[in-house]
Amino acid sequence: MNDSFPDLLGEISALFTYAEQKIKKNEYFADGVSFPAVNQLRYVAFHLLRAEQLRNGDEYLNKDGLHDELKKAKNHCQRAIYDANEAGVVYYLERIRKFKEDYESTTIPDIVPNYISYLVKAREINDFLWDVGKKSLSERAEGLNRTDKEKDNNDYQKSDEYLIQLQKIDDILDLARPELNKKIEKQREKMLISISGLAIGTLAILVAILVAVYLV
Amino acid sequence: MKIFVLLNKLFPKPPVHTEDDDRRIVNRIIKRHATGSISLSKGRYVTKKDIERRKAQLQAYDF
Repeated sequence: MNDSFPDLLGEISALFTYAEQKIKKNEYFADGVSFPAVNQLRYVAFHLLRAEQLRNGDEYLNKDGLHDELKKAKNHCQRAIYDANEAGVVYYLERIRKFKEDYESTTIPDIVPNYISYLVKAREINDFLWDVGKKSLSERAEGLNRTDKEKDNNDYQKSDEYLIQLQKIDDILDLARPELNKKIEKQREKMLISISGLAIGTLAILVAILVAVYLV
Repeated sequence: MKIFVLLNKLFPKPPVHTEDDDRRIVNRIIKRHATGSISLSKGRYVTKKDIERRKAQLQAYDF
């Protein structure tokens, strides 16, 4: 990784643009504007201004300070991407959960062969969200700012991958809905026929018994 | 209906204020003042609190 001032600025600029795109995309496809993500971009502006102050002010020689501010700005950009993705991931996980609840009474793998692997994936992503949240909480409790740290920077990339995977799963499940509805309708018809057959049979036996009793 | 009014006067209860009421007020303010964002003017937004609540619900769910 290149750490010079222009290189870091270039990286921040690219990440900022990407974060903005992510926020916009999730705004339209999921539940609306993600305030946590927008807040992270606000922090980016703050750290960039601080960096500019350090570059132009009396502390010109404070290269470490300048570097730190840029690093913080970069980490907040990454966190903004993560937060925007998180809103989308939660939205899609809720949709998968709704699907599972809607079709509890029928066997889904006939129509969606990879259904179980989709659920495993959903569980894995759900655990990932929880782990990131826990890490964030424990670090705050220790007095560390998570965005100041480098080690978890791949969380935002992972959330990116996970969001794409969940979108695909949701698309497939959504397409399967009409077929599953047809299957449930057929099951219902079969059940109705069986129950009415049983009722008619029982009635016929009762009539036969009554006739036999009266005739004898 | 008059009986309920009378009962309320006889046995007054303190007003109930819920988190939903707060949310509705905030939502109304955001809708009124948001400019330049269609989502915000429709009241479509997610806060940290919402996300944490939904994540906790999902965590309790067995996929």
